Parts: sequence; C-alpha cells; structure tokens
Amino acid sequence: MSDDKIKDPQVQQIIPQQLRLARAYIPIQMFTTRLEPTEGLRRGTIFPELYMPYQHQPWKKPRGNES
Amino acid sequence: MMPEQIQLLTQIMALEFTAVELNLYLDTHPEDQKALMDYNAIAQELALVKDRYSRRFGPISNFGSAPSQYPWAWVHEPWPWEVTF
Amino acid sequence: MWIYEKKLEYPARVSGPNPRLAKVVITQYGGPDGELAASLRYLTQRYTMPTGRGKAVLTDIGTEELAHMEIVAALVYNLIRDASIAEIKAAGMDGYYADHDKALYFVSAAGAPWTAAYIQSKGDPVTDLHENMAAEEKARSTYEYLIQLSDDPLVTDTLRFLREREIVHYQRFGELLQHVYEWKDSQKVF
Repeated sequence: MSDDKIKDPQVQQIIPQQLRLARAYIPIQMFTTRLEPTEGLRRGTIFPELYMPYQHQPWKKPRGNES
Repeated sequence: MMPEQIQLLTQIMALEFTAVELNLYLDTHPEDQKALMDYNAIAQELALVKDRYSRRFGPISNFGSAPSQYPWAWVHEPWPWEVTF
Repeated sequence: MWIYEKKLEYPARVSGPNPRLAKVVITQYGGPDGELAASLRYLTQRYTMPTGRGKAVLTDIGTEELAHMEIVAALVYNLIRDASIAEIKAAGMDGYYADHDKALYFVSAAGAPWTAAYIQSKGDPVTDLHENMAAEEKARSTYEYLIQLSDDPLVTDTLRFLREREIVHYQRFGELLQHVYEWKDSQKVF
C-alpha cells in the first residue's frame, strides 16, 4: 500500500487496530457520495470508490485475437 | 414497446438498482443514517414510478403487489427476456 | 417467499445471432462459477449463518444472483433465437442443439451439466464467507474471459455490468466476514 493510501482517512478508520494472524481483512466502506441512478446503473455500482472497470491487459491477450 | 413504456422502465431500472445497492450497503452498515435516509427517499420515488408504470402498462409485479385492469394484464407480452430496446 | 418483477435488472441487448458467443456465455448460466451456482450457494447457506446481518446479506445477494441468471439467460436466448442451423453447426453448437434445440439448459461452456458439487455449504460462517468471496472472484475472472471472447459490443456491455456486481458483492461478503469474526470473538466464554 502506498503512503498516500495509508493517509486516506477512510483507510485509517477502517483498518482494525489489532490485526490477527491467519485472518482475512477487508476495509469497511464508508458511504460518502453516490452516483445518480442512471449513471450508477450504467457503471454497475452507485459507489465511485467501488467502480473498478476491467482493464484488458494487452500483454495477456490471447494469440490471434486482434480485436 | 412504446417509447413511454421504455422510458418508464428505464427509470424503474435505474431507481431500483440504486435501491439494491443501498440495501446491500445497509445490510453491512445498519446504523448508517445517511445511507438509510437515501434508501428511504429512493424507495418512495421508486414506488411512485412503479405505480405510474403499472397503471399504464400492467403490473410489473404479481401475487398481490398491484391490482390489475380487465382482462388480467400479467399475461401481456413481452416478457423481460423478449425486451430488446 | 419470492415475488417476481417483470423486468431485467440491467438490459440484455445483442447485435444479432451469434451461437459461438452463446456457447461460451451460457457458462455463467449453468457453469461452475455461474449465476445459478452463486444464487443457490448463498440461499442455502442462510440457515446456519448466525446473525441477522449475515442472513440479510445472503438473502439479498442470493436474490440478486437470480436476477443475474435471468440476464445471462436473456443474452443466450437472444444470441441463438434467430441463428440458422448452418450457423449453429459452424459455431460447434450442434451438440447442444441435438439435446435442447434453442431452449435454455444449465451447462458449462464445455457442455457439462450443472451439479451441486460446484457449491459448498459448510455450516461454519467463516468458511462459508471465504467460499463466497472466492466465488465472486471466480465469477469476475469468468466475466473477464468472456469479455475477451466477445465480438458483440452490446453483449460486452452487459458482461461489464455483471462483472462489476461481483466486485461489490465481494466487498459486502468481506465486510460481513469482519462482522462474523467480531461475533465469534464475542461468543467466547472465558
């Protein structure tokens, strides 16, 4: 995680103070703003912070697929 | 489908999707008052648009969710998988 | 109980007949990481999920997955509806056609019928939530492979929507996992 991310108040608030071994941790989302209904539907989420569109990695492109 | 039906259906899709998203968020954040107020406001708006849609184009939901005109309008086509707007 | 809504959660549009694409997209209908498996997995795990929040998340995401199953079915149906026998043969979908005509059936991209062995319901809420988070990631990967395979921009648009839903569901199961850990810790008798 970059320093910028750690300074983010959202991330600071959500990382539990005492992490335990052999457990999985997911930061808890804090609702701030949301997209308008039409834009939210178009993107597949109303939460800008959860919008992570697929970036096709060209170096992993199957051979022979030129599209 | 008439343009007006498509327009109302698109509006229902967008509002209900916002409700689904806030609903799932509230399931894991039941004490978030801001999200809850937003959910309640969307639920109210959604109910109004669904009511307008059902009166004009027949029920969007069955089993007593909304009354039907004569004849029983639930059987009207197209069904969702036949809608390609 | 469940109440049906006569609408899709997101539009399922196709540019034209494309049985080759239908043959792979159907894996999200009845394949190992598909929407039927997702829905039934979450709904059947509800009975041993200990808290109200957990039961709500499983009910609501399990219900949304049924809506996704319907979207995938609409894609497949519209991709094969107007396909000719010649197109179906050229796409290698003749084996499916022999058994099902243009009907929808729960199979993977390779033609394997759906089986309950795809899912698990373990009784331990921590274990079940790990299963569910893995399931969301497997479905996300599948949607990415389908996007790579798609030559229909309208189908790609719907696949992109469904992929994004996997990310949001992953986040909710992750948040629920933190809550279940807290619940487990609070149950310990010292």
